[in-house]
Amino acid sequence: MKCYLCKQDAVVRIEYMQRELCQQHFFRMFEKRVMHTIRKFGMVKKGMRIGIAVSGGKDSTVMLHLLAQVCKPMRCKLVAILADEGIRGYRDRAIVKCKKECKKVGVPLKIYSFKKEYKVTVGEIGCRVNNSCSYCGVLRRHILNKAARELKLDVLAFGHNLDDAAQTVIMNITRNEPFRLARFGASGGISEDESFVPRIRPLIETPEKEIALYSILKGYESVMQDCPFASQAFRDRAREFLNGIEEEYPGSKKRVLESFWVIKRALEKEYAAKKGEKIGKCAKCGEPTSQKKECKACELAARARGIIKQRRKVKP
Amino acid sequence: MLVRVNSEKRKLGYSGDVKGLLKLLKVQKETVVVAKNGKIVPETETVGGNDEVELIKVIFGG
Repeated sequence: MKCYLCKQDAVVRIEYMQRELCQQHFFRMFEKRVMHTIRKFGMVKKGMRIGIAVSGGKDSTVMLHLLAQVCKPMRCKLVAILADEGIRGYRDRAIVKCKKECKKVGVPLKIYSFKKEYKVTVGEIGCRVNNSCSYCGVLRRHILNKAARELKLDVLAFGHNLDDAAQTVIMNITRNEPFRLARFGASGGISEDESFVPRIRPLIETPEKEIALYSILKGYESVMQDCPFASQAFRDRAREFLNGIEEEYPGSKKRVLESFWVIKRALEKEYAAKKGEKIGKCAKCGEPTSQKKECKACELAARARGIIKQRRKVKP
Repeated sequence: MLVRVNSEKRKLGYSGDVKGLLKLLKVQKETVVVAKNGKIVPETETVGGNDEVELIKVIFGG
């Protein structure tokens, strides 16, 4: 098959465009779209201090390279932040790759470990509970926000892609949690409270498969394996569902996100008062929380430590 | 035709486009990138005969 623009050998068929593209034109289309997202949502401004949440996976690696490219002329300060949840044989491999990619673009990498922060790892609790993704997600957001504030960052960039966003929309509707949807978006924070570092998602309009293809063709090193505890997640079901729909009706994920942008305006109005609410501080760690005493992360970390202690006692 | 899926090799008597091959193997198109004789190709590419086709899994959970 040939590229519809230059007649070179095609590397991809973009089904929702009904077009084949060669490597060069695919790169151009891909980068143009990410730049468009960054501009449209005003994600990057001159002289900003930007944290890049990296995991060693393809999404954050591609984001790292693109942000390094965009931010250079804008004199932004970049720092990559990795939350090491401690899953052996998975995260350690990712860290090796991540270090290499950060070195390539000259961005310093800071690693924050769950073991050090919470005295427990997801590797330890993953084989003892069936909802380790809930623990991992809460603790990860907690550690990253804390790190971003300590490093005095203006924004924290996440590698969430179009597939992640469409899954989030479907999951929150299925769970009847519209308030969560009102907080979700391409840029901004969970709350207007200053202790939450605003987030940006430069890849939110880019399909996951295209990110993977871009990463492979560029020769980036990233971890290409499932998290050993991933199948426990509700997100996996949402992913399968959306991939099936996309195959039959190309462009569906994009349309889910576009519909969401419209719905979001109404949701923001509905929950405006809640977003501006003053947030309390956790009695244990001092991080922002809407809970009365301690934050969800401290609560889950304590619960996880308790589970491990209990199982150790039971062992003969 | 030789098909490699997750480092597992198997011989398959198939001739047609990649899209049809994925359907036959019950693999979601959105989850793989396909290489034919070492080169990344679109799903509209024809495969068969002595071709070596690799399905590279690109969507991971976690």
